[in-house]
Amino acid sequence: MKNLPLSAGKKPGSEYLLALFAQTCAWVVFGVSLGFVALIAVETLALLERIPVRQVVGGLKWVPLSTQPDFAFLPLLWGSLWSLIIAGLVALPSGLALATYLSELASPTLRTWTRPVLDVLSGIPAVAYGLFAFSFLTPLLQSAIPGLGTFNMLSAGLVLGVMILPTMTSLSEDALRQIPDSVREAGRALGAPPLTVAVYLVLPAAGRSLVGAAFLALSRVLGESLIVAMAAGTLLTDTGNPLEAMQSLSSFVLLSGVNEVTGRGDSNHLVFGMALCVFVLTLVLHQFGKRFSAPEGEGKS
Amino acid sequence: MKIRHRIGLHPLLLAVVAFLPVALLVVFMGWLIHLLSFQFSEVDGTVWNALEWENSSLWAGIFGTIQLVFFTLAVSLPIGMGAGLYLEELRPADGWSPHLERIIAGLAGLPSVLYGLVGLMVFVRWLGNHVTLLTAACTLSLVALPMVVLTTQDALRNVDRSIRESARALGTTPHQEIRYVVLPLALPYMISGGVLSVIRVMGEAAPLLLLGAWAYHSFIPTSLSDAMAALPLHIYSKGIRSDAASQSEAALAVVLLLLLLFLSQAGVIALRRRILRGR
Repeated sequence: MKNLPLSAGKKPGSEYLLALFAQTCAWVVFGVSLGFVALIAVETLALLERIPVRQVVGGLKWVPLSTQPDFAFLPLLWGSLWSLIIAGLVALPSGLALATYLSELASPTLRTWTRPVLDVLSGIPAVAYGLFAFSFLTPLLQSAIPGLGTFNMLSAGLVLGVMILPTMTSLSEDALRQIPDSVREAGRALGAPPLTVAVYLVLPAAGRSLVGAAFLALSRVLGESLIVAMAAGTLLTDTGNPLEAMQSLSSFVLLSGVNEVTGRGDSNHLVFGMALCVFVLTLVLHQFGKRFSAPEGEGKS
Repeated sequence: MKIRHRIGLHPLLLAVVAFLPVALLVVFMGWLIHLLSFQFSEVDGTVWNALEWENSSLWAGIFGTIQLVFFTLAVSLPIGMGAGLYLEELRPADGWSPHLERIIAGLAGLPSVLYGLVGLMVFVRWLGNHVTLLTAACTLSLVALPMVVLTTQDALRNVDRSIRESARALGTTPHQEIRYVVLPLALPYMISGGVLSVIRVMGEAAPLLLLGAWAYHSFIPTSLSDAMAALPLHIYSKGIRSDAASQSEAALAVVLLLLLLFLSQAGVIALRRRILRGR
């Protein structure tokens, strides 16, 4: 640092202006966040005024305009669940193995080379992954699995798994780093090879934080709309079959939002109800993740 | 050893799994290049046609994205940095501000579609606007704002405690300490962190799609009230068509978008390193 410009108030009062500015900004952000939540909540209330909760939540089909309207909440929930399951099957074991390898076994040189690659992967925008799923993975899978639709949840889920892999890996690696070296040294002193130490001592010791990492990574899958919209299609089906076109909660928000708000569509505030579901579910997963991945005893913040 | 037999894993197996993402990255890049080169050889020079100035939808996307970065920065950087400063340094321990911190951390984890939906609602339905460059930038600022706040807080937290204490020992007031000691030290990290998170948001297509996929225009916006254009939207609108020409144009746009994002991020990091070296 050069010289400290502290010499008796070169610009008297500018520090108070700064503090005032900072406080105003904080108020603005506070207002915006409250407004954000309030908007979605109010619109959802408007939805529930028109249609009873039971009908929205139990909806099996998409018949919004008939005299007995029915809304496809359960199929959408199925879509979200399938995307979580497939992406989890891809990303969780692989991310965990990668993190174990990087944190416990890899040489420092390799570690410094793998990190940038992971950063690059996590910086790839969703639309690129969506294109990858739609025009590369789906044709590839179609040649392997007969009867796979042009739009299907399988390839969307697989690519979602790839998308969260870097997040999962770096979060789990952080969790494994938290384990003190004394644990590893104790294992090695008993004659166990590094892999045994990693799998039987370090992984169980970090178990709680690893669960947190998985929750945090999966909360991104739940909110990702574009990849699902591109690869799993715009069709609302109620078969619950991941080999066919499907919509998830968030892809429904993406695809029906425009019609809803500009008044051209027929979805009657339903987008906001689904948006509230996405909001709450993501927030819950995120909070669980944060709570689990915090070190023991600090779990409250 | 008994335990070792039970696992039956060799470190090599783990290494193979570990290189999965690297392999995926290679496959992804290889596929992009394949799409481009295939198109180049089969349909005479389609890729280069797309790069010509007259077929300006690609260029509109590129320049539209660059414009969006700047306007989003102009909105979200001052507000986000100010709020981060308040939350990290100035906030009282009681009242509403501890909650605000939690709310912002929660908002940062929310999917960007929701921001798009809210932006659409506020700017299009209530304010009756068309989807312009300004409304798009404001919506993207909403997405970026929590992340800017969080990176600002991170940067401030990393200022050495001993420096703060020596400032106080020299007789500064808390406000002076922040203004003259903490802020100058943290500012390069605050700004670069904010810019990096805004650049990251530029790859997002979901909020923009909600705002304007149907109002997507393929010319470069010349004023704030012009319709916006963005490279991710271009990729989406080309990518969902299955003819070969559109696919290769989408691939070209993906390559350009990745280049734009990575080069600008690398540029910001290099600039920061340069500035810090002068210290």
